[in-house]
This record gives sequence, C-alpha cells and structure tokens, in this order.
Amino acid sequence: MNPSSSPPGKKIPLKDLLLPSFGTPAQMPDMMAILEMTDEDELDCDQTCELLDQYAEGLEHHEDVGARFPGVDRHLRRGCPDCNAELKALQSAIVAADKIR
Amino acid sequence: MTERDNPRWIEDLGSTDSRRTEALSDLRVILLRGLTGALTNVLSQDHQDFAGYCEDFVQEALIIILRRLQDFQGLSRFTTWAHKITIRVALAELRRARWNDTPLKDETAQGSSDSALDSVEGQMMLTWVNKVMDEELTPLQKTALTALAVQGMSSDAVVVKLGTTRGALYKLVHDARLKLRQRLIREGLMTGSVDRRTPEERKHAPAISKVVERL
Repeated sequence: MNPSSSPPGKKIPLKDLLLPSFGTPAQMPDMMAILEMTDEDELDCDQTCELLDQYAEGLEHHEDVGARFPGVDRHLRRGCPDCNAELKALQSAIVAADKIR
Repeated sequence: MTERDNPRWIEDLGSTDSRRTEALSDLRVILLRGLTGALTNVLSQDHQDFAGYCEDFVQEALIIILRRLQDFQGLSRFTTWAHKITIRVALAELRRARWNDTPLKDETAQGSSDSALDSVEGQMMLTWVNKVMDEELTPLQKTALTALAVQGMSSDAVVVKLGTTRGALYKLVHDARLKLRQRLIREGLMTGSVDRRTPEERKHAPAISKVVERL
C-alpha cells in the first residue's frame, strides 16, 4: 500500500480543514416530529449503516426503497443527521468514482 | 484498470499473488476518487493536506475491507460496499475532530441554536421540555438527548464523550424518546399511533405552537 503523501505529525489538525458548515445542522431536528415517528422497533445507526449500500443502489435504480428497506427508510426519515449525511456522501462517492471508469 | 465484478474482486483481494496487489491498487484509486468527491462540501480541498488526509482514510478503510471480505454478501456492488466503509471511517474521524472541544451540556435552555426558540413561546417550550426531561429521563439520557437533539452533536462524538458505543447510545436515546412520547400521550399532546407518513404527506404544523397551545 502507498504511504500517506505527508510525513506523519506534520499535517495541520483535521478540525482546521473542516468547512464551517460541517456538523452544523442546517435546521435542528423537529423533536415533536421525531417523537411522533418514534416506534418500539427501530433500526439503530449501525443496523442502518449495514444496509446503506443496498439502499443507495436502490435509490440509484429508482426502486421503492421504502418497501424494500422500511427500517432504514424510517430511520432516515426520522432525520438521523449522521446516517443521512453518510447516505448523501455515499451517493456522491459512487458518482465521483464512476467518472474514472 | 482491470474491470472486476463482485466475485472477481473477492477472489483477487483474497489471493496471495500479484492479483491482490493489483486489486488493492485499483481499489485504492476508486475509493480515493469517491472520497474526494464525497468530501467536497466538508473539507477545504485547496489545502495541501487535504489529499493526505483522504489517503489516510482510504488506507484505514482498505485494512477494514480486507479484514471484512467474508462479510460481503454480494447484495450490492463491491465498490459501493467499499465506499460505504470508507465514508464511515472518514466521517467518524471528521465528526470527532469537529466536536472534540465542545463540552456536553445538561440544560436545553441554553443549548439550542434554533432562533425560533428565542421567543416567549420558545422559552415556554424549553422550560416545559426541561421539566419533562427532568421528570421522565435519567441524567444520562437527558445529557445524551440534549447533546444530539439540541446541541446537534454527532453520535460519533457523543459516544467518545460518554465512553460508550453507537449501539448503546442509540438504545439509551431510543428509550428516552419512548418515555417522552408516552408522557406526551398521557398529557393528550400526542395520539398513540406512530406517524409513518412521508415528509410530503405530513401536515406542516409548527411543533412549538402545537405543544404550547395545549400547555
């Protein structure tokens, strides 16, 4: 494997590279809406992440992801910021990587 | 670059000869391109260290991917699965960096970044929320829920601050949400049915007004 291009310990702190918008929700989640959508049985973030590749490809192929992956779909619609951000990043990664083929 | 289907990826990466080296090299290129695209709106791409950090994340992801090769079930493209792991690695690290210097807060009243809560109505809401959280939740649940829902902190950062796991944190907060929901149902502020409508189907009613008018 290729080593990192920068010598260890010489890079600026990661937090100094972050754009100001990262990690700051554009809109705070509506707590009442989240509570209205709270269910006894929910997928947690790890379970959701486990299926995110399939879910992303389902979106790519315009499938009914809500029917195929109801637990993932509800988790995302409840507004989990981390999982929604990872889905969005995954979709961007797929598009960006396809450009080199 | 060699075109590979899922079985070919698994076979080449699992081999012990030059096929593995070539497959790792090709996968590195693919993941690097994907991660660079994914982090466009996250990291300053003009800085000289951007590429170095992306390389670090990809290298860490490759180690995890090789270790978890047998976990890949072929239900998506191998590269999609690999991108997912890479993004998980990168975003988890970035979130920890983002929130590392931010302390956890105990009170919701001073933690909200929502300007709508600056009104008298908003303050009533916050006072009520704090009261209910004090009565219904454990101190740990209140701290976790405040961090996630009020401070907007990432769960990747909260698990580090609380010394727990993502799964345990989710269960903690899920239990908290269930308690709050039951309290709202008891007080007649919510029906007992779970709202499973899509965002487009939901009637938009300001949450604050709906609760405050019934307090």
